[in-house]
Amino acid sequence: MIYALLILFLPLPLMASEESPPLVEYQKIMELTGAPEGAMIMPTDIAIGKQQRVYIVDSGNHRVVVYAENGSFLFAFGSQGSGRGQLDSPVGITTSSDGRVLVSDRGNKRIQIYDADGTFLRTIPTIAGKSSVIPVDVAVDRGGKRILVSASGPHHRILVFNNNGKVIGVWGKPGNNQGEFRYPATLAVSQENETYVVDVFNTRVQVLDRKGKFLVSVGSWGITPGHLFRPKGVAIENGGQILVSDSYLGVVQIYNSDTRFHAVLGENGEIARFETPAGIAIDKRDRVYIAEVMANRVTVFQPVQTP
Amino acid sequence: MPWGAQLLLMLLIYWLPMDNHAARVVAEKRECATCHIAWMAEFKRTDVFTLIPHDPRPVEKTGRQDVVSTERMCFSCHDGFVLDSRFLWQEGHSHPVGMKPSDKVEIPTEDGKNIFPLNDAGNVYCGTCHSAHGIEWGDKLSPVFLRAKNVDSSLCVRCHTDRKGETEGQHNHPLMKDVPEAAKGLLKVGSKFGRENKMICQSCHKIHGAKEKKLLVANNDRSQLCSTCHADKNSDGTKKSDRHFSHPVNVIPNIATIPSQFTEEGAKFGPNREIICETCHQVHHATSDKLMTLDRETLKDGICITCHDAKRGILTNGHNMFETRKQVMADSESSTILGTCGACHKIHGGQGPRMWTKKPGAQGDRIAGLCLSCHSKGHLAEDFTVGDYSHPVGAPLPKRVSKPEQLPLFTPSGKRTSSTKYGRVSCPTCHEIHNPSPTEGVTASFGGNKKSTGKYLRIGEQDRRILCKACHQDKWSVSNTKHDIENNRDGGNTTSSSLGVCGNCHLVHNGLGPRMWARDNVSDQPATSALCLSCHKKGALAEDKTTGEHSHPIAISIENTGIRATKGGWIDRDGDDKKAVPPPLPLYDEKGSKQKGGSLVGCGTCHDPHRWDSASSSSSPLTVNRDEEGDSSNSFLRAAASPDGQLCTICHRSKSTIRATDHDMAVTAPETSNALRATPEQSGVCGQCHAVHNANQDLALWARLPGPGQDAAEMLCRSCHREGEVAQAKAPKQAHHPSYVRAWSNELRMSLDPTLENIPMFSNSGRQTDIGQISCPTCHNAHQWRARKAEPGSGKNEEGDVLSSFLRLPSTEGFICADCHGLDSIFRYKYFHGTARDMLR
Repeated sequence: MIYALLILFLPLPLMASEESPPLVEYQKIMELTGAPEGAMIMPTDIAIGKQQRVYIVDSGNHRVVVYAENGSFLFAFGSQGSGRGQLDSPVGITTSSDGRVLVSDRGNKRIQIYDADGTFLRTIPTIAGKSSVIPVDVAVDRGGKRILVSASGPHHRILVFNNNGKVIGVWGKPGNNQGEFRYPATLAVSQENETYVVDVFNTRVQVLDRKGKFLVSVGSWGITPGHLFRPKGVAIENGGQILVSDSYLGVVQIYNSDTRFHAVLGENGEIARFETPAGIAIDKRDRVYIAEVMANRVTVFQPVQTP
Repeated sequence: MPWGAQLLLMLLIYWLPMDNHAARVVAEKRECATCHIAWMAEFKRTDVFTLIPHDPRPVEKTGRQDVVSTERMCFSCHDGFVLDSRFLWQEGHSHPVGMKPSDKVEIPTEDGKNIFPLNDAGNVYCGTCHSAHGIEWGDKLSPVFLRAKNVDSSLCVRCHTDRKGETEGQHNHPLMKDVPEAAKGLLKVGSKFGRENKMICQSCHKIHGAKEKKLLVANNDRSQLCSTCHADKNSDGTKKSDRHFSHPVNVIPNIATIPSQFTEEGAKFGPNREIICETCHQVHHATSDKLMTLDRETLKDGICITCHDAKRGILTNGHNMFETRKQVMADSESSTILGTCGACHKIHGGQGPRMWTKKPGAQGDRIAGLCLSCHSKGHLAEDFTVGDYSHPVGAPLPKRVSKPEQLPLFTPSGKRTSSTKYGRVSCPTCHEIHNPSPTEGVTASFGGNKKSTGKYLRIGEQDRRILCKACHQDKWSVSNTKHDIENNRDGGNTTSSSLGVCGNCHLVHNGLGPRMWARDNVSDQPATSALCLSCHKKGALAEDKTTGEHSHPIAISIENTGIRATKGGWIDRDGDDKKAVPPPLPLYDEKGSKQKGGSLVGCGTCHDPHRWDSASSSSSPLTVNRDEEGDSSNSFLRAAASPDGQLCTICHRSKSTIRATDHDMAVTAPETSNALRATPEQSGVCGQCHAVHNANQDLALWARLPGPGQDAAEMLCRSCHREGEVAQAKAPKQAHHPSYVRAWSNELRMSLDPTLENIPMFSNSGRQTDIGQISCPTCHNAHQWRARKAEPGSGKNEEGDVLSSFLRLPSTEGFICADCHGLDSIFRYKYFHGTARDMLR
């Protein structure tokens, strides 16, 4: 009976028409656009931290802006520069179970780590071998002991660091085969400790096991529902569904946990259209945060509960 | 091989390359469709739903154009997740798109087609410059994704042909010049340099994401960008200008007015209307290869006069070197631009302050150095030198000098200032070569080689009397006195009458001696008095005021009076240097210069030639009748000598106890007069007996007629202490000790017994001597009433006793009398002065 009720309240795909794709109906509940010090410029990624705080990379302002769950501004940290705690054109962000906030400091080629209140803790230079690599996104595995960093071109790999900043693994190589990458971008780690990597130019999301071994991929090249043209953001919904944003097509698509296409995120019975959507985050209440980079905002949706 | 197997193999061989080819075609299409999304096959299918509509030429903000070069497509890769060009879309300035090219732009064509195409609306768009197919990938010289190579900004100038450096009729900032090392910092803000570090368009302009207008890589509203490379011309403020010898920038003009012509021709200014580089220069479309804002026609008087109109006077006076001496700078182009001014000033790269073309001396007053670079022997203005004795320049102002309200001062580096703390007098304090006073009578002729006339003074002929006064107000009390020779009916000095009251005695330049003396120096007199004696001598202007045959000695050391003059001040001869007091009177060195630590007495020690009465203000002219004869209370004395002999006792301190004693004629005989017919009131207490000038005799500069006596000292005393004279009541019957008795002087006696008292002996001539005869001053000190009490008298004509009566000692025991006469000496003493005889009677 309980399962029946759960199923009843789960967001279900709506068949819009014969031509249109299935939609999962969401409702926009707010837009986050800035801080008292100034509007956000090109927000790229979002992470949900302790107390359901919302951490947003305000990349144009080279800082992180923090909101409460209800959308009220809390504080911001970081400033442009290469000094202690500073950022230069950051892209990705994640939080760890112990409350740390990790930011990929692309311009400075390093990962900056702060506590939940934005106090700077330490830096991890993104160095593999003798080369500095460009970090795009950062994630922490379920155990909180490994830090995963997607390294952009020309490296096209995933670097694995321990908490001391030492490289303990390098996953993948440039290419389009399984386990290979062309511009790996955002990362997400599932409850099963599997790593989801948006592989931008291979137009797919690759799923790797905890050792970096390829498991399966999500999506493929194309412009029809279920296909990807410029995938950028990935997030795993609490029920295991995978949300992938496409910055050119301007949509967020939803895949089942078995990686099959499920639906397109919809609003008011239509495909929800976004302006260059990139990073995605989902909080405990299944609210979806989508960074619309060119629109200088983060749009927040919540699932429409169907009776 | 069975035939079936052969058939299968043949099919495989046939299909394998076809499959490979198909795979390659698909792959190529996918790579192309990465940008050319309109080519996606799904758009052609009717059985599928595409997530976006097919729109190969969407309407963008810039107009309708190919979807491949839309902002959305570019950003889908350049958003930081793949490549990072986010800065291009952030705050800043980028090459304009969505607008038609201006008429200044010339888009090159090839086969009738624009090499750099416009979109359907005829507007510039991203695809105008960018294409994935324009440049061979891997070309390291040029960025990819451009339609043409952009090596050393070659792409920029293909359209912007009017900004391509120096071309016919087009004067732009030159390209491909070496970039100085100091400018490499521009790389951090997005500047780019060409091959071998040459200056290119992108050195100043950032095509995308420039922080400043005009796509500049750095702010230039205060010439910051210009001065990055042109640091040698970066004269930020007048201070740096003085240091860099270049025209100042970033200053609000306060001595110049920028005419509207500049603004009309596109001149730029700083945020507060400051002058910046771009006020005079234009980086593009300038009027000359010097990148000037205004053309030569407009600058017919030179660019300087265009703004510095207040200096226009130089065009018609003798300092117009350009005209009078055909003196031009080596840089003929600059001379053309700078005109007259260019002969002396170089806007950039001058050799000294004020952008001076010549190098002034490293030491001393720098402004004066500029003037002297011409006004010295062997140079252009050697006919107008300042001579060996000239008004000092470049030194801190003495305390006595007033702040000149009408004249400028200058810092040691040559900056005009009103501060008397840092300001110095320099040549332009008095002179203004550009626009001298209209009453100066400055004339010049440019036709021949006529020398200019006039002194180029700021204060003209009519107001000349106040020129010196502007600083030397403390000397203005000379006005209307007998030393104001210009106003003196007796006549003036013909050599310098144009300098007014001061000029009669002082020549500001080419003086004849110390103190810029304007008159013949009396070379056979001590330097300490030579200047005064040039007038105060027989046959000279002040021959009725000569000092006479017997006068106070000059050029003698103050130490004769028991005073030691040091740099720290005056001290007792054996006193502690720390107890020095400021010198109350000036003393001189052997050259006649007033010096701290100088010890020689000169005329100026007692006289201030600029002030008749020391009690009057030093800055106010004399208001009383100057023809009235002076006395010892005025007569240009630094302190009054009457009634109490204040002036005399400054040096002769031990003599000050004569005041109010019986020897003060003002007490005992106020109606009398001395040999110079001066009453005690006129002469003062000292002057009744001593005449500083025109004394009767050299001994004690005696001012009375000496009386009888066996030696000169006695004769002085008996001038009064005799029958018929003012002190006849105190005339001794037996006035002198037998002259055959010779005694040792005090110094000799003290060598035997240091405790002995000071009892002087005298020669016949009245001078103290080692072995001499006993005379009146042996026992008497005429300047102190009570023995051993150095104090003035009571002011009453009182009867004396053995403790007073001007005696040196209060008892006879210590007197030399006792050496010979023992206990009998007191009676013999009484005998001499008559009282003992009266007693016996």
